[in-house]
Amino acid sequence: MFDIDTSYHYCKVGDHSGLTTNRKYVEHLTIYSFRTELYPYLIEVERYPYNIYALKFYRRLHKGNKERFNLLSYEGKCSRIVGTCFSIFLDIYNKNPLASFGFVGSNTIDKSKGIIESKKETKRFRIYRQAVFNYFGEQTFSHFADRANSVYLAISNKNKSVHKINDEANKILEYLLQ
Amino acid sequence: MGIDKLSAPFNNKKDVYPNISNVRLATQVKSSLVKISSDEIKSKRTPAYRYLLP
Repeated sequence: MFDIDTSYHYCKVGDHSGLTTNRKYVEHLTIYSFRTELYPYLIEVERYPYNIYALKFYRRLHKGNKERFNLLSYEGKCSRIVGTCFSIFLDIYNKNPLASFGFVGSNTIDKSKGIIESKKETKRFRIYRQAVFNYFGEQTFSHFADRANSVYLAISNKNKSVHKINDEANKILEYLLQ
Repeated sequence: MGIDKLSAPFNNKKDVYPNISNVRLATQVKSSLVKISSDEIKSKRTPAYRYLLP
């Protein structure tokens, strides 16, 4: 389904720390680039407190577009693109076993087709969740989800208190969702 | 599954919200991350699953 063996080759194109990220709570922002057969993409990896990493991707063309996470490319390469995100996360996890990772399954907005998806259990959320269930087991991660906001968080079981991290993640999310 | 579900057309009515009034405002939303049960994870796994991490 989401095979990291066929993930795209990626390279790091940006590294920002602390205030330079201009994003509250974000301690570090790393940007990766990869190219599918048709389009170049960017993946943003934000590191939050408690070693929580959020992965986000979008077409490079849509950089600066506030709806960049809501758009569909209609390229049909979702599995390889998500596999590339997993590949990046595995690299992070191998370097930092305390790393937890999260994502938001953004709602699709396609004004040309009159589609504005609800934010609850979005299509992206359901697909990414399925992928995480398939590839990341419960020995390594504790899995949390906020269905109403389509947020998913897999917390590394190597952390001392998984539930404390979840509580802190909720606080951060409350700010981010405002 | 080789089908790219994300790019599949929106043919399920519950996925389509043509009226913007159906979209909740983010300011009305509270975060509530809830632990997913082991049973739910197992029940949703596809037959093709394989662990990257156990």
